[in-house]
Amino acid sequence: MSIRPLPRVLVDQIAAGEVVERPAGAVKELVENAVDAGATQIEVHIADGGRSLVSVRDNGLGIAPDELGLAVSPHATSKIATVHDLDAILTMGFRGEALASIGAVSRLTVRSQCKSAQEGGEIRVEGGRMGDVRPWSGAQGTIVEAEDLFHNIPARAAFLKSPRAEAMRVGETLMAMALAHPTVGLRFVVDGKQRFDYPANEDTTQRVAAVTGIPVDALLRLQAEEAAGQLVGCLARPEFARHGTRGVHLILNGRPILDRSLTHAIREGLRGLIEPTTLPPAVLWISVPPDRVDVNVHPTKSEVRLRDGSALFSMIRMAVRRALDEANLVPKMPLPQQLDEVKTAWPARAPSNISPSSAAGLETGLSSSPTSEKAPGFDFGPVTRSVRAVERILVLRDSFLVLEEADALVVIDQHALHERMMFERLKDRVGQGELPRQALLVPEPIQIGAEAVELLPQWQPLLTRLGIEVVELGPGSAAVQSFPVLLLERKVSPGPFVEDLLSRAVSKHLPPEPEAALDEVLDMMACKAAIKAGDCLSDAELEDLLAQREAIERSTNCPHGRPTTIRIPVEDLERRFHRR
Amino acid sequence: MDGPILPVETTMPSTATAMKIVCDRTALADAVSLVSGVVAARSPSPVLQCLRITAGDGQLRFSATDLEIGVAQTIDEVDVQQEGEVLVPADKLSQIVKASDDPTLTLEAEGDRLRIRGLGSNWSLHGFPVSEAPEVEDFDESITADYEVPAVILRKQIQRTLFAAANEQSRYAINGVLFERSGQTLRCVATDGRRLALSSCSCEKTTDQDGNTIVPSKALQLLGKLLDARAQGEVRVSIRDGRAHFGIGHGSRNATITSTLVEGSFPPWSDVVPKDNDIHVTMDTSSLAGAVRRAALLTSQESRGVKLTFSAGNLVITSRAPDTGEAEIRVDCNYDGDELSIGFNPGYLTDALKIIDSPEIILSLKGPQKPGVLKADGEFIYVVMPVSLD
Repeated sequence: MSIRPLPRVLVDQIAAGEVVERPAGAVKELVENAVDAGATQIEVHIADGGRSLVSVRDNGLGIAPDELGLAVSPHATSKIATVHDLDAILTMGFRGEALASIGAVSRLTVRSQCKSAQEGGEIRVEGGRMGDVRPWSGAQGTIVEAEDLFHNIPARAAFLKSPRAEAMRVGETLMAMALAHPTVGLRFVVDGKQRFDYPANEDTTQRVAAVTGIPVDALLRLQAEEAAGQLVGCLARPEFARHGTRGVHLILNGRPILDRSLTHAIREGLRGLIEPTTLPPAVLWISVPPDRVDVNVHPTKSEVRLRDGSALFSMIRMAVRRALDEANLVPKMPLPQQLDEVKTAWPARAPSNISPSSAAGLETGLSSSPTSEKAPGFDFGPVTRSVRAVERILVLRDSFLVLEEADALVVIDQHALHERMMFERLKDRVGQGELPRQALLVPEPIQIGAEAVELLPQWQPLLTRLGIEVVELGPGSAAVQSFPVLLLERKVSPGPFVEDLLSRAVSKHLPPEPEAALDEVLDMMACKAAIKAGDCLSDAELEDLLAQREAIERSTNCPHGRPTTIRIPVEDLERRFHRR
Repeated sequence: MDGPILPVETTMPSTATAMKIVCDRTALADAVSLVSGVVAARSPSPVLQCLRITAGDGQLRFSATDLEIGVAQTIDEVDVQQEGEVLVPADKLSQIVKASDDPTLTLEAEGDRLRIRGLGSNWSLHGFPVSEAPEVEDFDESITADYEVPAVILRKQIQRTLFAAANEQSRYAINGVLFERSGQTLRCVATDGRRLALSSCSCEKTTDQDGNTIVPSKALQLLGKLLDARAQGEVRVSIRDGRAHFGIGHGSRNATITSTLVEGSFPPWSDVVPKDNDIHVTMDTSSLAGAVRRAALLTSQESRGVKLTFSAGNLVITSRAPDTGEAEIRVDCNYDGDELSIGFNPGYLTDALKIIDSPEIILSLKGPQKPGVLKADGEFIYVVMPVSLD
């Protein structure tokens, strides 16, 4: 077989494949072009999942008729003139291949009316072959229509999903774009039916609420400014956390990007308030100097290389923490959910340890509704302070502490709260130096497998900080020589704990970065050391625990992300008893 | 035992259980509280939370079991008017007997009920059929005990070791005290993996068979209490059928504790006791104990450790709790070497210092990362591992 140069059309098709894998890819490129053209209103129509039609109409600057031909040629762009300009890329579609790529795999029509030109123009591209520019007149802006996408690449067409699924992907892409450009109006129409219409010049929080469906008052504002960059953003309250990272939108210099490290920064900021595999929806607009970021890493530009990654990481983490600290984080239970939980979690008959007198007391407390007795404008202060208002504590099944606060019934999971407390104290202590470690009389042998033994040298510095000393004994076995005094006092056995820890390290359940792994290991320690559900606490222990609750910053969730406290506001009770 | 203990299987006519006795309340309270110690706080079976009282032959026998440990005790401060038996909840009986201020109490069984009468008080306590109670053995006097130890000595052996025993689920073999008998020597050893207490005494050999037995902590706690009350005579120890049997006293004032043994092999303690510690400091027991206690005041759960710094003629004990403060306690000692610092969990030191009754102890060290050894009166050895402090 001889080697020949590829025909031109084929080269374009291959290039197109990198950018335009499916209709959503085409839509993304076209919308980015529209934003670059200064559009304030963009409309996207698709038909048959984008296969028979993708149309993007904008009110941007437009393309002059004599530049239309150039616009649809490969690697033509108005945005970069020299290689040096690559260093200062601020616009989206700099690669100059979007229109050409789409033209290579569809029947493309571009119609545009330029502000400066008298007359607009129209050009058609079919299977990569350019037609002549013809006159066209319309409103200022550009309309790009791609029909019969992938008609000349059956293999690609075969990989498309159902029209419904493809339309959903286009919708997701557009929602991400709507978040990336909150001031641009964006309307989306599928097969003639409007899916959404986000108005132009919307307030950013309104836009985030509209796109994510999260109420405005559940969104926390993020803000930070440092040498490495600037950040503004919205973060949904932790109770909106869901699995995966799909709810997280990072917009770097106006470009939606994917970046595991920055996403992890959000999670770090939320540490202790969410389960480790979840994240609440968040939209972060980050601006960094263009020369501090390399966006030309990947054709879809979704991954970038940051020069000040670690500075941005800590900026984001700190901004998230600040926002959470400022917010009142005790999750309020929505009413219907509360009804369900009560039905399933409480026995049908009253628990025997609620005496009639205390039940009666409870009722008077409710009917005399503290909220209505409040002097107008009197502020009871933040919830975390009102523990002092506790009058009596009901301990349910040696697991839950039920207390009364000024305007709510508060249920605390004793294990979760204690765990949270231990975590904060351990973290504080580790910050001041190595944890005191108790040498063991007889090293405790552990079977951990060869892989874990290999990891030992890498983990030893962290283990030493935590007061754990492990020595290798042979292939797959090791021995614990020292163990933190604290864990021994809390009756945690060295062998099983270290085995568990190392097996998590081997199975990559622990993050490889020492700082992140530290917190995870402290989580483990706190959990093992904490009092358990079912442990009967003495009055002194109860008092101590509740006193600490006040002192612990963000004490509303245990490190595993389970809530520590549930508040049932009196209004909810009143509503349930039809008093409202 | 020569009491009229009827076999469990015997179905007795209701009149046979109609016991009636008048008993000295203090003796009754002591016996009830002691035997109740075996009863499990939480048990699925209410019968296992009961105490069995048997009146007969001029004495009163109390027995209870958690199925692993059985305790039986007799008292003779009683006037048995009618022999019989009853099975009643231990905690209620104990509360009643303690709450009463009468010098004597009258106990009458009526079926499964126990009527308790004082001068102006009258309780009727619901019980269970005696036939439901598991059998609790008495020390079998017909079998020769393996060895005998004076009660005061055995009590000391327990005091000096039991505190160091583990209370862990994962390392079962150290959840008890090793009784190692070789010839005329009985060594008791306990460890929780961080410290080890060893106490030796001589025993009266009655059989030739040496042996190692691990006795569960709970059984020894009960035995310790029993010996606190009756530290006279010899305690007969017999290991057979996978159980340890301790027999105390004879006749109408006897007591028996039987217990299952802890399975597993105890760590080889002789490897653990260091032989090359070459720094020896003799110290006044109570002043060292006081100094450690004072320094321990400023330690926290996260930073439990005191630092002992020896310099010529001087020991300085320091501690630091990050959020609370620091302590520095100075004690005189006969140390004359180079400056040496070593950290310990203060709790481990005080645990041992408070059970040592000799006025002086010897602390032997090797270096900051090596185990320390406390020795007293040639019979007590306590190995304690150091804590590394910043």
